[in-house]
Amino acid sequence: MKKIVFIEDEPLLQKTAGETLRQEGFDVRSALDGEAGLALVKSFKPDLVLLDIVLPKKNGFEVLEEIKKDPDTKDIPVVVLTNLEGSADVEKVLESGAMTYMVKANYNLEEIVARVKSILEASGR
Amino acid sequence: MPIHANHRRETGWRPFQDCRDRNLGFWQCPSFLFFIMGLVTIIAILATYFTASFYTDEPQIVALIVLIVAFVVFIIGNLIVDNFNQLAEANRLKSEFISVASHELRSPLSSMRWLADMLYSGRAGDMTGKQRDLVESIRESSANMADLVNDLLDVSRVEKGEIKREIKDFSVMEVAREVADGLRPMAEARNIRIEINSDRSDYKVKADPNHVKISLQNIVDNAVKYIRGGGLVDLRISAVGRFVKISVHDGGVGISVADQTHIFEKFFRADNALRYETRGTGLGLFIAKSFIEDCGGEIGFKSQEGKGSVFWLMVPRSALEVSN
Repeated sequence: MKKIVFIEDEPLLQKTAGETLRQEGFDVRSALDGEAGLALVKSFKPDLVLLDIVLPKKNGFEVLEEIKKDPDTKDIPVVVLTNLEGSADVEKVLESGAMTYMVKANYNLEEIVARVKSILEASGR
Repeated sequence: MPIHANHRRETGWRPFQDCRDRNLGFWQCPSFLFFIMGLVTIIAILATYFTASFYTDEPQIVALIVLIVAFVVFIIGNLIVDNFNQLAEANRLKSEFISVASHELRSPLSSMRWLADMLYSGRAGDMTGKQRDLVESIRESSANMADLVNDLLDVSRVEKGEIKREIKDFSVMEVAREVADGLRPMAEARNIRIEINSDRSDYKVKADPNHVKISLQNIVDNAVKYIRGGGLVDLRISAVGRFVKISVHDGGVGISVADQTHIFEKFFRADNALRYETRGTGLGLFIAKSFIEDCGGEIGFKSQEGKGSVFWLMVPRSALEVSN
């Protein structure tokens, strides 16, 4: 079973997307803030990380940077799921090593699941 | 790039019309203030000349007049600069507000959308057919709201000069087909056909494909919305010099001459027979014009009230295309 860590501070989004991914056969662990999320990534070693940017305690940019700095986690694909859409934000996220950047409000759950599956397949995990 | 519009302004010229349109008072209107400054300068020059002719033995009086005039011109100049600064600041705050508000709107919108998705997919348990229909309505409304927020953000980016573009070679026919396929369900519900006609199927252009798609989508969406009683929306693709022209013909309600001069303005909605029967923000054509001109293209239209309209996009042809 493929493992996913979902770092998102909005409980409703965690509940809906998390439950959907679980029903699709993924083992999903969630965190509501950046610090807890980073600790979870290091301990759980998921096959993919879904990461929000605006997070309490440690923001998504910082979490992404630390994931990519750690030799144990740097190869884990990270999908940024956020509602920010400034071109500077997108560039920063992609330059920091995220696989892709998705604006939450523009995608339904089925599209998110499809994207997660295609990224996992493409990354050979 | 100039807008090609086959229309004439038949209303008479009214001075400072741009300030009236923006509800600016005369003392806030830059063009009025420049006019006053010009008038004062001319009067000052003439007065100084004639005064100097009379008072050549008393240069202090001439100097005093010159000083007073210079002071008045300085005050008016400052008023103009001050007003420009206020207008620029108001514009900046408005763009920033749109940007911040749109982001904040997206958060509850995402929650609403994904909750509706869970219900609709049956992942939260079975629903009756009627419940499913209601949830489908929530999903549609949420998707429409997401589109509106995206439009507002696009407008904000255009105004801040932050359009993100990815220029590449792509097939016009593919984009036209995507747009037509996406809008066909709505069109068919109104008894409207969407057809694509082209003398070649493989025209290639060099632009941002997403921007061209959004621009064409906005035009075709308008064409469908402003046809009454069924009909045809005809997309025609052809080469015109170094551009590929995509024109959208409709036999809809058309645009009045008075409205034609404003058609590409932000939030402008034409005052026609269907104004209160159609939804729209008045942003679609503003965004289309900004996107197309940003990638070196042109946008234009001609229209006759009651007979229909033709809107066209001229998109730069790919270098490979042109050399072939």
